[in-house]
Amino acid sequence: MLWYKFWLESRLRFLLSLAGLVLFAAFIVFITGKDSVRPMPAKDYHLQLFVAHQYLVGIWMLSVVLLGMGGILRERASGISQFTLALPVDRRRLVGIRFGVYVLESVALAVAPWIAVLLVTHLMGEPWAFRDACFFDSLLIGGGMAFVRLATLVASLIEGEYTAPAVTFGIILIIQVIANAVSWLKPLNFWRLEGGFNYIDTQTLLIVRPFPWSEILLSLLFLLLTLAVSIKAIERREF
Amino acid sequence: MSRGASAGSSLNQRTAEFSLCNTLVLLLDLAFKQLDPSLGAALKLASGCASLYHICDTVAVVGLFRLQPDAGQALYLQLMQQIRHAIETGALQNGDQLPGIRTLAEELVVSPNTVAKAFSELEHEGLLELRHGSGAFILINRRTRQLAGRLQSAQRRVADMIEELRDDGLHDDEIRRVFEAELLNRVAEIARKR
Amino acid sequence: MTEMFPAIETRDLSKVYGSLEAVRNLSFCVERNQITAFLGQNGAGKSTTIKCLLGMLRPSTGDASILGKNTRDRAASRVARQKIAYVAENKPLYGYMTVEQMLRFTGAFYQDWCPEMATRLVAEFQLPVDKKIKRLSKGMRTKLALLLAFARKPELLILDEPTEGLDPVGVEQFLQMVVARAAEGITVFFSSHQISEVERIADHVCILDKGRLKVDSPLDYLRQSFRRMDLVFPDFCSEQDFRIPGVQRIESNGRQMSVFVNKNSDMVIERAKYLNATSVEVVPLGLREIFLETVRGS
Repeated sequence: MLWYKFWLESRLRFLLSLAGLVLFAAFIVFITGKDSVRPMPAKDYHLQLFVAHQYLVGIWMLSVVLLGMGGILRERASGISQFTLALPVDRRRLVGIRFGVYVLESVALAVAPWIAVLLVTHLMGEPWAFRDACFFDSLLIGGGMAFVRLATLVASLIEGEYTAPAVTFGIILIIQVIANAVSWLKPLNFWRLEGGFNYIDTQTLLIVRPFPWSEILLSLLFLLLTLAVSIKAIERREF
Repeated sequence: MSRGASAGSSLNQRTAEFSLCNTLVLLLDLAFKQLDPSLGAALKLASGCASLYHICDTVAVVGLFRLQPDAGQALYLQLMQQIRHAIETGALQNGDQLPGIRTLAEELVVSPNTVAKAFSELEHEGLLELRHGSGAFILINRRTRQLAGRLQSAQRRVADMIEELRDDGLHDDEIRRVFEAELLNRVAEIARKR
Repeated sequence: MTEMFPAIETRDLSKVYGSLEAVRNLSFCVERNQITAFLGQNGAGKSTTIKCLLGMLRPSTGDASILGKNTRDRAASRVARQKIAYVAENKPLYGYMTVEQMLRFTGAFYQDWCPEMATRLVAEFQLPVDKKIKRLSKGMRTKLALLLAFARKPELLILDEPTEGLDPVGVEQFLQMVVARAAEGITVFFSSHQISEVERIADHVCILDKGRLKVDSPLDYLRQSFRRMDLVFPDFCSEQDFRIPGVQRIESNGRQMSVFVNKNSDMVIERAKYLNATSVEVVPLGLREIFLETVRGS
């Protein structure tokens, strides 16, 4: 029943984000594609793909950070934790299952708009390659997990309803600024990972590097690490 | 759970009248116990009668008992008193079955331990028979009727004294306090002599 | 299945926040098959104690066990919680769930959940099952929070200020439900500011004052031991003469003296008579006065 509870808790935020992402993706593709020359030259196609992806990354990141807020620590502020913690459930399970729901929702939010894009472009007669969609989507999910991790950590340490998202966005901003400015820290720039900047030739906008399996795997590993840290933080916390 | 208004109110009036007497008799009772432990409580025969109806072989206690938590007397003692009073007025008769502990506790809104304690004490005194699994049954026999005699005359004497004190202008509260002070003093004297 | 250990047991339990001692050297037992009331002013440490018992707070020093399981042991604590029903003071509920969702959610966690009882109570309390909890009135929320505890058959029922937010009819219903549960063998441990309610149903009373346990006795014993003696002397009488064990407080005014005792009232009367008191009146104290005497500045 814990899955159900966490789903109900995040349902509104999730559905709003989903609707927003899907509609926005369809809209962007429709707008940029409808006036282009048929058949679309390769350069235009790759530009479109790339630009659409950047927009999606931005909105997805916003949605995912907001979705990650809440949890048992938030309940402490309103006193609701006195019910949740009185349940015959380990704190470990509470944190773990909520994390699972959150990750699944984040993945769904990444996949849905790309499906919409494929549908719309198919209907428009200029279907985008499934393979390309998969590539960018995987980058989004794999790299984007960084935001999931960050949001989870902040939510397990900071209680304030507005403080937590503010801190999360603040950290993201700082990392982006630093990573942009300092050259050897460039790989840390998550946006570049997700956005695919590292994998594209800036002139042709073609995908030049192979699929970053190892980076994605590392990202998933860090995901598990974040879960462990988050569980530890909540287990030690006094309610 | 409804309370029978008409049956209850007349009983309550009578209960109020008797309550002062009952408290004093109970105090005397306790004092007697200090002197002679073999004296158990007895029936208080009194005038008047109350209406009663039987439902499913268990006495319906609708309006029969009222406990006052702030009366300065333990609730189980009040309940014991009221059961004894119900017996002497004839509201409860030999062989009647009292409601179960849970039912009575819910009706009076008191802890079941209070009811259990009252039943247990009355069983010690010989007024109740606790049959395991069936419940509590009223027991009135020749022995308990004999013991009633002594308390009965005590009650008459106490009633007379109370009337006199009231005529002198004392309030019931004052009368109660004076009695209790004297009894405690007596208890202290006895303790000292031992 | 009768267990021999108490429902709750603390040994020198302390909870300290920096320089604030919320709970200090608390040692008491809540016996089974009894209704135990936990009294104290706001901030006396009642909620802190309950949270320590349920594993929400870690004791600074000392130990506590609930249903025989040490509260420091997380796994054991979790097993104990399966048989405990707890309603916190603020009646916590998930606002985003409907009444029905809340019932289904809670019922899924406890084997002792009674669906028939839940249905009956929902009807009795007239709770709208499809309404979101955040739209319910305070009284309905309170009833729902209590329902979640009463639609079960736990071994231990812990209630923190349960009647807050209930109208008099609701209070009566609540007290009847508590008494019914107690009759079924459920141990009840509740804290309340409503002394009159406590006086009716409590078997045992614990009074907490500034984190320390001041009173831990059966209610009947308290009723029989706490007394106020109003004494009048022919001449001025010194309070020193009445420094007898059991005397809690003395108010004197010339020839009059009020002596508050928690035991040995007979010794006080003897002393009064010895000192030629012209008037001795004994007044029993109700639980309210006992409580006020206990928490009055010491």
